[in-house]
Amino acid sequence: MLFNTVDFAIFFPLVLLLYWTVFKKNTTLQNSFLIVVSYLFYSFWDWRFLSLILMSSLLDFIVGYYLGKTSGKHERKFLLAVSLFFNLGVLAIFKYFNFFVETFIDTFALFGTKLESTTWSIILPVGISFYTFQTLSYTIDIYRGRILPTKNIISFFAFVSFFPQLVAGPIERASNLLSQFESKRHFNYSESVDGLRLILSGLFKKMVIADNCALVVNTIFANYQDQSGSTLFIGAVFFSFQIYGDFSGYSDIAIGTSRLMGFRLMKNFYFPYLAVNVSDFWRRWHISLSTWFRDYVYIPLGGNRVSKTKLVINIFIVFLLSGLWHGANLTFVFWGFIHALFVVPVIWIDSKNELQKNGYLPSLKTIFQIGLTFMIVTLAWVFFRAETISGAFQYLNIIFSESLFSIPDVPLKILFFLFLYMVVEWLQRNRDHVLDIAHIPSKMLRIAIYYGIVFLTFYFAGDLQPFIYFQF
Amino acid sequence: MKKFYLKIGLFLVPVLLVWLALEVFYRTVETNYTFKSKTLVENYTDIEVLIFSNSQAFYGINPNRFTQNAFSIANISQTLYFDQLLLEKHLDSLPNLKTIILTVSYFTLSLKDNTREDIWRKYFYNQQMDVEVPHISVFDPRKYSLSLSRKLKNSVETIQEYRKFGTLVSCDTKGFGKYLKPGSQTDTDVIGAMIAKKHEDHSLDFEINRNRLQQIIDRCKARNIQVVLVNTPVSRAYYRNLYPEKVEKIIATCNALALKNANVHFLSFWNDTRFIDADMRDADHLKVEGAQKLSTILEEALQSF
Repeated sequence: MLFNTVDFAIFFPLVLLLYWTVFKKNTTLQNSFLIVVSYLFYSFWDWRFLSLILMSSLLDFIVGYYLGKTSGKHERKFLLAVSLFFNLGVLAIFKYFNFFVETFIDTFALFGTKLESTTWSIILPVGISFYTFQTLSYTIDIYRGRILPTKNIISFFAFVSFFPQLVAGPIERASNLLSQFESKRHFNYSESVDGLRLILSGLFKKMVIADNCALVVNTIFANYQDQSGSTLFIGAVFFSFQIYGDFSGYSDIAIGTSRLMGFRLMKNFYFPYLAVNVSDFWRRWHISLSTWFRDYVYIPLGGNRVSKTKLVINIFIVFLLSGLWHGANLTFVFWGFIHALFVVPVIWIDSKNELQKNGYLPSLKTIFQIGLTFMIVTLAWVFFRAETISGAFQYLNIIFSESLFSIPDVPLKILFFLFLYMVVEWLQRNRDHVLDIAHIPSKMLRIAIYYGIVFLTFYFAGDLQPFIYFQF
Repeated sequence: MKKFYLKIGLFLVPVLLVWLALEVFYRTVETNYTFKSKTLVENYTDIEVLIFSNSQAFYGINPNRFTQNAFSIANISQTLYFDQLLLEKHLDSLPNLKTIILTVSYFTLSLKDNTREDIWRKYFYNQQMDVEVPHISVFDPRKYSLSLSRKLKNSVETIQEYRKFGTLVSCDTKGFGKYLKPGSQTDTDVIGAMIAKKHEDHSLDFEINRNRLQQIIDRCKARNIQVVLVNTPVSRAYYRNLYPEKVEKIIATCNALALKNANVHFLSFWNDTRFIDADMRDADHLKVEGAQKLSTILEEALQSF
């Protein structure tokens, strides 16, 4: 069930109504209800994979429980290894099996050894990368002594399967979300209104920005050999906005729906295309994933407190893994590699560049920084979108040809519209999110803005497209 | 909490009113779907030739040119999937049906089910032509609300069209399509290349639609009904920009069906010198005069079968 469908528009209000009325009095009952509706929500994709969520939840609950009981170093290591082995094992089978087999065969082929190829036709369970990382963070945090294991299995199952963020994040930590499941929720009017604002902005980003860009992007990337450099460049820009609208829109709706149920999820996007360098971009883009890699990979590797050489190696490890997390294809790994290349100098020189906070207009320096970062990120997205690395290089080759200076064969009014949207983001850059307009004193103006966005969303909605991040 | 629900309710009132108004519009105004369905049922016992398929048949084959009693149930973007559903629904009620005509466009055989063209149309076949569409789940709210099945922008355009022409029915009493809007002024070479590109799905997988076509043929064979497969004329530029291997495969598939089944006849006008670009309204649709020319040729062919 997609957030931007009529199905969800019926499903969610019903859930919300029952949640705050029938199940309000008892937290356990409320959590049990959330488990049922979360599993139902997931079943709309494929009910068969519910067993994976169930197994993962059960195993990590048991591992967590015994980690809390055991103080022996070896026993604790063993328990953590069980959790890592199971969760990463399931992920490896469902997501990476064919990739590893094919890479293995290709590597041997390079040395002249031809191996028999055996790959399976495996369906990727929706959201597996997200909930796997979420449950892993629970056992790792208990192992490290950062949190105590929960004794409430209902709360834990609800935490793992919580439907707003089950299939595409934000990847929550037990320290933030599990504790919310264990305590009584209270309806908060202003939080709920802000939740609705987030849902509205999320729908706009997804249905208007992402879905309209997707139509152009799909055509351009499908026939990139026949297009001019300027068209391909604009195509890459459109993809930047497609993936941003798509993923941050989903996150906004997830955070907004959670807020209506009395939960506060972590922020996942914070005006990423206003980033002043690539490192800053990663503080603003898919924050829940970048902080996950920071906490569970980068810091355990030594973080910033290592030699410069080790630091560079660590950054590359984190970004290559982050690329691989996105998909079982070398294009994603290469995408991570490009980001690492541009993050290293920023961390190396310990740049403290931050986005200009004051003033309506950006300074020339800010425009240059934002523009340059956006260019790097956009060109890197070509690898993310392309089916092969050679395809991505061919795409870039055409961009950097004479035809870059020709008139692009794309609807330029969309580009103008995207520019306007970025102006709004710039004006809202110090707020919590793009539609954070609670500070506007005129109630009528606020309502007019809401109706305006509702109209724009329904009127200019593009053709329904699947959320890109569901494939991860 | 109550205040919150109340305010949400009030905020949604205008939105719900718009939805309700659109729903009333779609439920009350006659469309090609309701008109064709109603007319077909009213003429069950008279119809001898039934024309199916998409806009190429809707605008390109004129039932009025046939000596036998013909009716066109063709519609814009109607796929073979819906042709089969419509045939299954009506076949047993058409006692005098002797021939069905199906156009095979460049994309007909490789078209996947339930994709872009069918996103909203399937609900109209379901609601306005009373066809059970297996792709629609009973839990799908759009099954029960036509206004939810279309984007607001498209609904507004439809209302504007209705206000301009006073009707949404764009065909005559025999189901033959009438052009309500003027044709494109774009250069024929440019539009030909553009439309050919739009129709290219890079697929040579005909299995599903070939099987579907065979099922239609088998049903007709059991009733001794002739099946005429037609490649309607297209502009030179359009034809030039098609993928030759796919063109060959389409023609080979249709020829094979005609060879295998005695009740099947295949006529290809894609490269027919009797048709020139002046017969075309755009890349792949005939003008009214072009349609008359094609229909006359088809009528002669029907006489000879």
